[in-house]
Formats: sequence, structure tokens, C-alpha cells
Amino acid sequence: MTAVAENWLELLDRHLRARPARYADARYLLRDTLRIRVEDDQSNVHFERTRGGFVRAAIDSAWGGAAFNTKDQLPGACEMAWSAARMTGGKPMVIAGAPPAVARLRLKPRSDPRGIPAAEKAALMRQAVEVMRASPRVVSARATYTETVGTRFVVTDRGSAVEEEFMELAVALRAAARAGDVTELGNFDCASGNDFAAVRSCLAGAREAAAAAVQLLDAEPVEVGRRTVVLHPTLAGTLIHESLGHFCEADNVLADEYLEKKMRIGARIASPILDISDDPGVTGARACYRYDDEAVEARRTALVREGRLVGLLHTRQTAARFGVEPTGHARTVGHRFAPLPRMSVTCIHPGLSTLDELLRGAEGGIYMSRSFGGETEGENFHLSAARVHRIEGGRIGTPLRSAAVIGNTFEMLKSLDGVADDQVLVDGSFYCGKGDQYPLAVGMAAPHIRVADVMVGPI
Amino acid sequence: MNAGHVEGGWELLQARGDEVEIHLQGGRVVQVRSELRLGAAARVVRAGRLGAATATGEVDRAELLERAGSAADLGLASGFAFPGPGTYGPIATYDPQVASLRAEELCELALDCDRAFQGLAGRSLPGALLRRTTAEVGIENSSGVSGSFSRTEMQVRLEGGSKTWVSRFSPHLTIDPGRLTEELARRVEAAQSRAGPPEGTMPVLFAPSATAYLLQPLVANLDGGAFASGASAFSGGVESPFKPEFWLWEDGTLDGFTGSAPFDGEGVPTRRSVLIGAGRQLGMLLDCATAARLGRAPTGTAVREEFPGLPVPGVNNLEMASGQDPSPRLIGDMELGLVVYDLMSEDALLSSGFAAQVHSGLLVRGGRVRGRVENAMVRLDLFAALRAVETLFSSDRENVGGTFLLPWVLIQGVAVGRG
Repeated sequence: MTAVAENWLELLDRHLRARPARYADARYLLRDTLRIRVEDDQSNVHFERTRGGFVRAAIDSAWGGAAFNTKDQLPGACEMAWSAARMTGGKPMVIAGAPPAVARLRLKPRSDPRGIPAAEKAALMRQAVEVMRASPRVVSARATYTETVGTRFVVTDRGSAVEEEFMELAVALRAAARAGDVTELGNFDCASGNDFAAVRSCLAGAREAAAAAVQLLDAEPVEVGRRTVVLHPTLAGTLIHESLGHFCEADNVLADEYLEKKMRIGARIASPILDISDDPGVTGARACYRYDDEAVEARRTALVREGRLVGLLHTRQTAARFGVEPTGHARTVGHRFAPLPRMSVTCIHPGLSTLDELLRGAEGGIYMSRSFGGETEGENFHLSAARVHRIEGGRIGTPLRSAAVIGNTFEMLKSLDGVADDQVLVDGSFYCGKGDQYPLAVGMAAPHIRVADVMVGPI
Repeated sequence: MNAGHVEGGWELLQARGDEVEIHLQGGRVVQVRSELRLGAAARVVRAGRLGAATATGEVDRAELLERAGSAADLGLASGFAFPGPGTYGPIATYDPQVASLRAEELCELALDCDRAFQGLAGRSLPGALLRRTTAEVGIENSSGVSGSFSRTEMQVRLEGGSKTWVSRFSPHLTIDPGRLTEELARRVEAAQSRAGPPEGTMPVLFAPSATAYLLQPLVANLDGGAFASGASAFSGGVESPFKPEFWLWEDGTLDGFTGSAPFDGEGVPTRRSVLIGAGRQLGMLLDCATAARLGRAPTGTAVREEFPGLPVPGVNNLEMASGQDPSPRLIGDMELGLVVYDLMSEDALLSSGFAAQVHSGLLVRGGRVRGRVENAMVRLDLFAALRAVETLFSSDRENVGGTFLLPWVLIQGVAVGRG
């Protein structure tokens, strides 16, 4: 590994030095992924190897960038990038500085999957499927294991040279139960950035997924209407990621006049009980990293304090536009694209209430857990919950079918009226998409939260 | 290709290509991105087990096949077999004019769009993306499949602000920036004023871009994997067929659509096949693996979504039959209702009943558009709507995303509320 690493850092650096620019950087990615998918009596095992890089330069007003796969393509890619960067003319863009970083960072897994035979991992997925299939009325079960290990090399023309290893482990389980023409799904996922033990816990999750799917067959659909909802940390984290988190990405603010007016530093955008930050330094999360894709040291960034906006997530370019320091949130999916401001582990800080208190204040409302995913477009968000219950007598009561929470982000953030004290890291099989860049591993650390008067409907 | 050392069956797909894209913001080019791509995907059947390996960059074929073989050793035995040779039809997937477009020319095209929009709307385009892609794809397998083709794709997306945009995808250089900017300017004008969402039950006209969302649960239920697992609503037969005017085709041969190709992701010839005919489910989407599970023949619908990823059942292109009335008349006949351009909902859930946020929509009152709707939610059951006699399809259809040919769909009695 060391020999390869030296080659890439030196090679990229040599090409950057040969071409003057206002700012330039180059990345290369070595990534190996094992995917095991077992569905009923079928399996699919796939070894995936990705080798590729990206060079870009800022000379005038626009970025010129080029992606490539091989060393032989690198000179041509540089030519394309520099030629494109000179194409537009205009006022040169400003790029924020950051202390030069020189580092070689090795993985230190708590439990290393690389020493465990792939056959053992395949057997574990088969076992998970058997556990789900053993449940009566489950007609189909699927287990997917994804293990990615890789190294990122980032070089800038301002003296940074970073090599950082990374690991992403994720299991996603799905059980389908059927009665008549009704099919319901139960799911479970777990993930880690450094610990294979998290993967081993999936058998309990398989029982949970199967039970949830079967339970949903007899559940009533949720009635459409505005309700008070209490959200499990998984959904609370997903909701904040989808609604507020994307608004805190500085390029989104710059690209939208409406958002630019709303997302001014110091503006009250949420309930005063809400504190939110984004932290790439959460050890064990898949989205944990020390340096971002512009070789800027990552740091915990406060976004909302007591309901007021206090910060945004930046690349070097957006930081310069806002006159602040880059936050280390320039991230990319793979090697094909330029970095964008992206979330890592988005944290809702623990509040003062207990879960019981949140439930007691939500009589007649809905409790939601396990996420099918979410989406945001403009100020609208959509969040799908796999498991839904009525709140009855201050407790989690009768199960209901899967449901969605939808609404306007700014209205929802202001009607958030409870934050519990039970924050946990919820690193499931969560992937974020932005433009063409999907899937990017993200995580959340969140407690239970309560939102009043939000629209709930079936999915 | 020498893969003689592989015991059992093998398949090797190789792809190379390039891409250039231009990002425009506020009338200025802010990024020019190029890409050179090279990759391969191999699958091997060993002792009845299927395994796969993919790689980007320069690929050692023997090593890739060996890795796929190692993956097969970890799998379960299946009845999978690689397809045999087929006859590939002549399909126009390549346009040399697109392939030769340089970054400078794309930049100029982007700025042309901006100037045209300025002339109509008095301001610059808030955003635009222009992209041209070329690819050469070759596939061979141990059963005698051997094919290759080149493809081009041109994509233009123009954003007008206020949640309005237009986009076109085509293998050819047939996209007319003038017409596209005119269409965008019309939509921007209609969305100028805001209207609060009406509440209650009313007709909703789904534009072709929203129809593509509506059809997701239907397509998920037509996936061969859902049949094989028994999870498809059609496995046990839906309660009653859809209305007889409802036809849906999978068609990998449609001219001018980016999903068209002489063969699918496994080398099976593409074709036109009926999925829903006169309201009845007549077909399904099968790749070789799901076809083997169901004891049927593959349908030429194995799609590789990643570069250079593995095949899964999917649609090359999807075509829905048109109806009688032009979409402007469907709007004109509405007393109070919505026109929906874009929905936010989860992908490919099997349930036909869903609630979704309207991301981009217009309020219609007295047969006229009154402004854009904010924070509206619609709730409906797709299968029930497709059974309803009063559901209408427009006579005009549009190319959505390069792979869908869809009409406007008018559904009565949709529950609309504030989201």
C-alpha cells in the first residue's frame, strides 16, 4: 500500500506543479467493495474495484475539471481541465485558504472485516434470510451486505498531500409479508465505519424486520391529517438531514434567492429548543473522516444554536464567498465529480425531556420509527416511516401501516416542541444524494423529538 | 476474447466513453467537467453458482474473470444460464454530431439558451446543465453472444426559478434550445403568482413528468423479482383489470430515446413488449436470473444502472398509450383542480396507495391557471385510479428523462390537502 500511495501523491503533485492556476487540486481513489445479496434462494456476490481520479483548476471565473481512470489518462485529463478553466474568462473566482495538510492516515478498526473470510459473511446473510423466511406469512426476504475499504489521495497546489484510508460496512434487510393482495415490508439496517461486530448483530434485526412486516398486514392505514408526531432517533436524524441539513449546505444557499434570504446567519429558523451541528469526527461512523476532499481538516460545525442559524457547511469556494474559513465538508461520491458541501454525521443535541414526557404530551398522535428514506425539494420535505404506532395513554400503542410525514421545512422546524435526552448514533444504511452524486454515506446522532401539527399520510 | 480457462459459463462486458458537461448559474458558466471512462464487468457460473466482478480502469480480463469465479464460489446454486446469440436490429443510438461536440460548443449552446431566456423573461437563467455523453459497449459470453454498439446522449436542463424547469434527453442533436426556453418561459410566467393549496377532493392533472412518478409502484409490481418472490400485486391477480384504454409497453427499440439499444445488459435483443394491454397485465420485466427463477425466457430488459455495473430487471424505455383529448382541453374543462409537474415520493414501493408532496404544481380555477401551488399534498390509489372510467389520458405525449413516453393523466377525486 505504501508504495502505491507514494506514487499517487507524487504523481498528482507533479502534474499540479507543471500547470499554474489560481487554485488546483487532484484526487485519486482506490476502492474495493464486496457486495453480497441473498434473496430467498438466490444469491449474488460481487467484487467491485474502482480506480479513478479527478483534477480541477480555477484560473478565471469557472472551474475546469476532468475525471480519469488510469495513470495514462492523467496528462490528458489535466489538459482538459486547464483548457476548460481558461475557457470562460471573467473575474477570477476566489478560493479560501486553509493550513497545508500533510498526512497519511491508516484505518484502526475495532473489529476488522478484512480478516474474516467472505464465505463467513455470505453465510451470515443466508442465515439472516432464513431467519426472516421462518416467519409465517413472510413470502420473500432479502439481505444485503456491503463492505467497502479504500484509500483517498488528495493533493493541492497549496502544499497539501493527504492519504486517508476509509471503511464502510452496511447491512440492509427486507422482509415482505403478504396476505391476499396486500404486501407489506419490514426493514432493518445497521452500519459501521470501523466495527464488524455491528454486522454480526443483524440476526436480531432479521427477526425484527420479519415481525414488523407481518404485523403491518393486520394494521390499519394511518388516517390522513395533521398530527403531533414523536420520532425515533433514526427518523429524527433523517428528518433534520433532509429538511434543515441540505439548507445548511452553502452552495444550496447561494443558488437560491429565497433560501439566501431565509438562511442568514443569526436568523431564527427553528424552535429555540433545537441545537444542531455536523461532525465528521464521530469515531465509528461511516461518514467519519479527518480531511475532506479538498484536504481541509474536518471539524465539528455548529449549524443551529437555540433555534438560530449559526453556521453553514462549506467548501473552499463557498467559504470564500461567505468570507469564512472552510469547514472541511467538501465531499464527493467516488472519483468522477468535483467536491460539494455535504453533510457527514448530523447531530441533534440532546434535550431536557425524557421519551415518556414526549409521549405523554402527544396523546392521539403518532410514534414513528425505522426509515424508508426521505427527500427534500426546495422547502418541501418528505419522510417515510416503516413503523408507525398510535400514541395511546402516554405510550406507544396500536401499530399502523407505513406512513409519511410531509410538509414545509420552516413550518416544521418551528413547531418542533420536544427534544429528548436520549441521543444515540444511528449509523444505518443511510446514503445521501445531491445532483448526480449518490450514494454518499452519511450518519446521524439524534434523540427522540416531537413535532406538533405536521401532515401525516399513508405511503 | 480468450476466456477459455473459465470452467462453466462466463460473460464479459466492456465499456469506454467520455462525457462533457457545462454548469451555468445566473447566466455564467461556473463549471466545465470532462470525464474519460473505462471499465468492465464479468460474470461467471461455476458449479451452477453465479458470481460477478467489476472494475474501472485498465482491466486484466483473465484476472477479472477469476475474481468473478471466486465470487461464484460464495454463492448459492441456481438455474442461471447465460443467453445464447440473438439477432440485433438496427437501432439509431449514435449521432456523430453529438459525439463531436466540444466543451466550447456546449458552452456556447448554454449561453444561447441564456440569451434566449433573457429575451423572453428579462433575466438570466438561474441554472442550466448541458451534457453530452458517448459510450462504446461490447459484450460476449460463453454461449455465443457477441455484440457491440456505440451510443450518444445529449441532455439539456434549464431552470427558471420558482420550482420550474424543463429538460430534454436524446441520443441525437435534435434538442431545440429556442423551443425549450420558450416552454420554460411559459411555465415561469404561469408560476409567477402564488396560490394557497385548495383542500378537498378534486381533479388533478398529472403532467408527463409527474406521470413518471405515478407509475413507479406499477413498474415495481411488474419487476420479475417481485413475481419470483410472490410480492407483486399481480402474482395473485389484482382485484380487477385496469380500464381498457390503459396500455403500457416496454420498448428498447424506440427511436430518439436514450434507453434504446440493440441488446440489453446481458446481450438479449431488445424489443417492444406489452406490459399492460387493454387494462390487463400481460408482461413483466425479466433479466436472465429472474427469468430462470420463473421458468420463462428473458425479455431483453436487463438494465445496468451503474458504470460498469451488474444487470437487474428494469425498463429500457416505457411507453404509455395516449388518449383522446389534448392536455390544454383537460385543463380548460377543470372547474377547480391542480396541474402537477413534480411529486416527492419514495421510489419503487409496491403499495399503490400513497400520499405525496407536490413539489411543482399549479392551481386551476374556472379552466384557467391561477398561479403556483405551495405546500400541497395529494393522496390517491394508483390502481383504483387506473380502473376508474373517468380517468383520462391526453392525446399529446412527452419524452420524460429520455426513457419515458407518457401522456398527461387526469384523475378525478384526488384528495388534496395542505402538506
